Amino acid sequence: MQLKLSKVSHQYANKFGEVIIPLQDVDLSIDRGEVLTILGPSGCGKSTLLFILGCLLKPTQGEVVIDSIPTYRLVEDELAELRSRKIGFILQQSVLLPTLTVRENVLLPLWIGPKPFNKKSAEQKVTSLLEESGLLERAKFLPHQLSGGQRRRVAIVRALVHDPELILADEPTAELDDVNRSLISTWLLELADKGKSVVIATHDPFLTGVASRVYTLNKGLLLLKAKPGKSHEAL
Amino acid sequence: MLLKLVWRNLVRRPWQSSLTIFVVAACSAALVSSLLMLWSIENGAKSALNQWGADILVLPAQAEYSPEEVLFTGSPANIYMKAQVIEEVSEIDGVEKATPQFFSQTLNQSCCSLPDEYRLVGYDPASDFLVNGLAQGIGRELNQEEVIIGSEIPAFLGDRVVILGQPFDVAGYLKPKGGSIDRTIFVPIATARQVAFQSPYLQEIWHGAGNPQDLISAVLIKTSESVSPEIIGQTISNIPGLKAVTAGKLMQDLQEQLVAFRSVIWVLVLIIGAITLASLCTRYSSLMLEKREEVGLLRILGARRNQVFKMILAESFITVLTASFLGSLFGLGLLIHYKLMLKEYSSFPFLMPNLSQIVIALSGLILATLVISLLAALWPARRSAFIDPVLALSEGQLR
Ligand SMILES: Nc1ncnc2c1ncn2[C@@H]1O[C@H](COP(=O)(O)OP(=O)(O)OP(=O)(O)O)[C@@H](O)[C@H]1O
Ligand SMILES: [Mg+2]
Repeated sequence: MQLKLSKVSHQYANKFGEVIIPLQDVDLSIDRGEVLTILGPSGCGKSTLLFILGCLLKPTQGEVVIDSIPTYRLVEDELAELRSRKIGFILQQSVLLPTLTVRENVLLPLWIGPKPFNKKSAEQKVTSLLEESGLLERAKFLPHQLSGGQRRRVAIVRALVHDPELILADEPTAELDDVNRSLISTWLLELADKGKSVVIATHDPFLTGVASRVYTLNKGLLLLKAKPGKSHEAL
Repeated sequence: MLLKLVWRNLVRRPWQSSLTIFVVAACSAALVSSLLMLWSIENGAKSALNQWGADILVLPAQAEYSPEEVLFTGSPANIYMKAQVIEEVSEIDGVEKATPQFFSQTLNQSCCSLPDEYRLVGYDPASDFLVNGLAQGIGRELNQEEVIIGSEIPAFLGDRVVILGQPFDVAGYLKPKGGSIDRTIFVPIATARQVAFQSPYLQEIWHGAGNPQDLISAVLIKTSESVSPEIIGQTISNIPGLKAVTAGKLMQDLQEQLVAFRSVIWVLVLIIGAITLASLCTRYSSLMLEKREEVGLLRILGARRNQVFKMILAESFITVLTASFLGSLFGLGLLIHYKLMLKEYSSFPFLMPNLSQIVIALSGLILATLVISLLAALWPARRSAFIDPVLALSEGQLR
């Protein structure tokens, strides 16, 4: 997926009229097969940026263009369909539906999505994803019966199940052990190799290590930090 | 689509759903039982009036009467008048047919008699214009040992009943009509008099009033169309010792009695409807808050607004459908319970609608409950569909 932000600014205002501008004139373009990481102190606006990339937040200024369609032209339902078809969102908080089992939670994007899916192959895919992330024994557990890290892995698997073209990951490796962190970074890399685009907000060196580009966000400004040339071999 | 989600939500949060189900079911039960009760009573009253079939009833002046007694009571007073009344009345201008009846009752007796008190009505087969019409399919005069019995009278030993120690053959059964006719035994007037005369329990009455052979309890009159029954009734009431009750008057009295009852029921129905609506509104509004985070997540994962909207309506639809179905069954049970109770303690007419009418009525009520629930869920569902997913999520995290 090709994604382009031009001159994107966003501002929040609270009830007292105080204004926060976490993004100011941000230009960014992402191509197929790229892995971007965004660093920055807490509260700088990383999540805000990801929400804008995921068509969940309309920037107060500027333009988001996805596959050469400016998103402001799309109505809410079209944006929703775009999300369900093409975007996999790993939220900063691993929110799961409390009434669904692990397996059902993972299947959720397929249930929601407009495209009919092959039940058998979907089940197989879920099974293999759960197995790889060590969750297969928990497949029939409800979210409240899981640990924080397990919940996070469920949320990650859920973001990948519908084969999205753009993966937005907000601190995906928080709460995870080394084995799982490297697993996640391997997954994200594999996805990039398949031509998916990946944007990660993180502090995790595992992830910055595999990125094609690393940005920092501070005081509303998005700056390119480094271009770690042959980072793939670093792993 | 997201029905799976709805279903799991209902099944895996049984406590939440069952509370809603309980409230709605209770309200439905109250609605069903009170409305069907009203219906049964109106039904009973109408049917009792229809089957009465006479235009004027002539009674002894001392006889206390209230409409439901004349029409339905199972315990007629033992007040009689001379049989000549029938000739006197027949001569009045406009009286087309006049037929005497002789009322008595069976009394509780030990062994082999009927278990309860029943109304024994002797009619005159020669001049009768009512009873033969009631008992369809007999098509002939009864002989002295035959009776026609109401639907609630238990016959035993094949088709026989024992009245005041004498066995009778049952020539025909009446269909259930509601009211006392279901507990009435019709016999030829001669038989009724004879039975009454021989009864050891009634001897005192005959000492005072004379031989029952010369007595009657009532005269039923059919009027010609040219003269108003009210005028004839007036003429009869002017004869000393007599009192006339016209069908029109009966209908009016009955309606007056029902008016109060009907309005009480309808006010109750409105109140119950309002309570249902209000409690569902509160329920769904708080549900909407509880589910903010979940809805936010669904929207982030790409659920469209109207998917969320439909999902919430579907959930309320399923809950309320289940609830009102259960409630209706329970209400029907209550109604049958009332019916048994009323039969035991009062002479009020009560005729349950037949099965297909009940089914139609219940479907209507369930539909009404569904409409109420949709009304209650509409606004919260819309609000949920339109929440800002990001905001909903972060607010959800803070709760
Ligand atoms: N709905 C909102 N209304 C007002 N201000 C907001 C709102 N959401 C976020 N902010 C502010 O915007 C800023 C950026 O928030 P954001 O969540 O994007 O930060 P972040 O970089 O993801 O931080 P962290 O690393 O802690 O997750 C914060 O200072 C926050 O106070
Ligand atoms: Mg954040």
